Amino acid sequence: MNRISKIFFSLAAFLLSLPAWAQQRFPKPEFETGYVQPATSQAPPRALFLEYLDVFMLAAVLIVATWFVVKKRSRRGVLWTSVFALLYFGFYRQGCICSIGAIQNVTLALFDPTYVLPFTALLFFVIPLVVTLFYGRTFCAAVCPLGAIQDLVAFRPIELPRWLQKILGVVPYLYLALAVLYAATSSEFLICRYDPFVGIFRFDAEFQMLLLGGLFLLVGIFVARPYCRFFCPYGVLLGWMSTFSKKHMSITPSNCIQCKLCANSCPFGAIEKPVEEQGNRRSNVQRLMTYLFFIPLWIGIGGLAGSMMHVPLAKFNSTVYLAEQLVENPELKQDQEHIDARAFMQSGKSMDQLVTEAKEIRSQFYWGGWLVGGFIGLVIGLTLLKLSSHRNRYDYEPDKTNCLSCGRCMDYCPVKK
Amino acid sequence: MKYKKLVNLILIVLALAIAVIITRDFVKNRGGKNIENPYAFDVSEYRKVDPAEIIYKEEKVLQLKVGAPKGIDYRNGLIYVIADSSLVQLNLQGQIQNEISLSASPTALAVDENIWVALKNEVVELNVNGNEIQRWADFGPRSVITSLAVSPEFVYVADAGNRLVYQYSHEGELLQQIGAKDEDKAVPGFVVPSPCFDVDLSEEGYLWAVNPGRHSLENFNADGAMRSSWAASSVKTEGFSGCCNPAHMAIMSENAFVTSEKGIVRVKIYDQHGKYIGVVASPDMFDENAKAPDVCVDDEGRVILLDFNRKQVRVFKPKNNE
Repeated sequence: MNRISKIFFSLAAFLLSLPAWAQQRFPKPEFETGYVQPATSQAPPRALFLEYLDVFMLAAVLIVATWFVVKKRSRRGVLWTSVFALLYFGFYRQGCICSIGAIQNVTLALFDPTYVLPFTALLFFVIPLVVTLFYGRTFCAAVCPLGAIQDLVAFRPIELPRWLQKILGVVPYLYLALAVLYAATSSEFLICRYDPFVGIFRFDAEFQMLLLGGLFLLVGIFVARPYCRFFCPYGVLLGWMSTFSKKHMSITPSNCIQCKLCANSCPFGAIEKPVEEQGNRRSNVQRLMTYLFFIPLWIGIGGLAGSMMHVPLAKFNSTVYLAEQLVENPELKQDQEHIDARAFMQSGKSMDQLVTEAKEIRSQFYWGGWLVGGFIGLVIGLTLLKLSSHRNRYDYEPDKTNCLSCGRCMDYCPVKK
Repeated sequence: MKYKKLVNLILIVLALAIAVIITRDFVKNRGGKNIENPYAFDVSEYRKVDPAEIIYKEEKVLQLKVGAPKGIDYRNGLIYVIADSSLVQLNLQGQIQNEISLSASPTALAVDENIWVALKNEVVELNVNGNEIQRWADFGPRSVITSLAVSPEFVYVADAGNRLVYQYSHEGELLQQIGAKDEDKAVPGFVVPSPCFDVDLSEEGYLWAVNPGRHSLENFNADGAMRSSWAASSVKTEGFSGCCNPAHMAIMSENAFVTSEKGIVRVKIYDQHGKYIGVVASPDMFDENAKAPDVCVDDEGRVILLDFNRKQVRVFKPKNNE
């Protein structure tokens, strides 16, 4: 991006975020001439055809982005597609529906038979995964509004140390696991709650959430796409799909001349350098086998740790928390200021029923804790295994799992045909 | 090198800030926590009153030694306060002239040559020494008497429970019910969501009743027909707001009205046509979440308030009298 573009995008981002600070300081005006205040009504749900229009737009933008990445090899095309996606899925659709949050809808539908999963939500979840399975993470490149807004502020990206990237790279797995756990237990939609940019898209959020979005953008000036790389739970799934993608973008259209320009251009550290196996092969294989052997141990340790965390984790379920509060402080039942206690008292349920429900949910967290911990243990074990394994590589290649297909490397590559 | 160190430092600070915000929110804003209501109607702006609009100043405060004051009236240099299960007569210097025990907790008071006291759902007439002259049959379980007004011919009883004003003879004969909804007579009916339902008499002896749910004051003939009314519905200082205001009202010379409001507690003056004149006591002169003070006026145009929270009689005089 040239300087003018940077200034333009910065100014646009600043101006667009201004209304988010606005608030209603005074009540609506009163009319003293017979005006009758209309009855308060709920906004009707979005029309079904508009929901399918969103799906159509998702598919269309995904096709265009994939075409720019894989066929046209145009960074500029990817950039402007992402600007469009930011405007449509971000500011027009206000960040909802989104594929990232759809993880929770799908999870809840799997665990709660009373929840009806909207078909459009399922499509938003599945379509990017399917496309990624064939063409890599073109969704991240130019369709996801969260990625787009971060991409536009990546002015001075620096390369983080490899070890730090690996450590922070575990966070999305943890976030995914917790998001699934809380959605499966009908406790919370964590991903939506901590979407840092939705407040900016809607021009409305609590101050701290706007601050969170602002901080992510500030970090994003130096660490490109921090949310995508070190938080996004959907990125985990996309990464898995992309690993197996057959038609993933390539840096060079023909032979790599090993000029290293692409490696320097990638702000995500997602380009694998040429490497040859070092050291004694026998000892390398032994080390690999040792790490492989330790994976079940990692899973066990993680699972045990996760299960031990089930009590504090379950506290964030409102039913469990309410039961704990009412058992410890029975006088809260009469507290009119305590909304949950009041709702419980009005529901006609007994304390025994509440405690039984809370125990059931806590039991779900116990087994969920095993799965979450075991999953994180597996991720750590596999990460160590990957670090210790070597595959001879003779050219600069995109790391299919972590490459966001933004096209910067193609732009920098001097080999054009 | 220096630049890189600076960037690293900034990134560490930003990363920590992100972690703190997420953790703090996750722990603080969980289910069952009493979080601030984001939809609360912020009326703090309306509690502010332009000092130029305040046309009275507080002259004196008389501290009462009672548990729960209930109502106030003024006649011939004496202030009458009902509280707990008694009636206290004070002079304007705060000296107790007489104290009369009542058989139950009083809810309303009016004074002419005698003293008329409402005890929730019955009316008792006492002489100035506290001797009972007559006691009327009670008004039924639904009845909540909130105000009394006495003219030479009639006794008017405001019943918030039944949303009616009863017109009685001095001998206790029910003459008529006033204010029932009657579309043919264009009587809208009283809207009384809470036990705040006040009545008073104009200089000519006409009944004025507050219609609190409509933020209006309504004037009736002796035969119960509506003569006129005025309303002022607004959160701004010049109007009435909330479910039921004004909570109390008194009529002063030239048929001007003194009104007392709850919610945004304030006392104001309106002229005989309902035109806003100014403020007697602004919200900042009362305790937070205070009740609307009961009001009466003396012969010199002073406004006398019964502050239920501070248990005080507060006397305000016009600033232009100085």
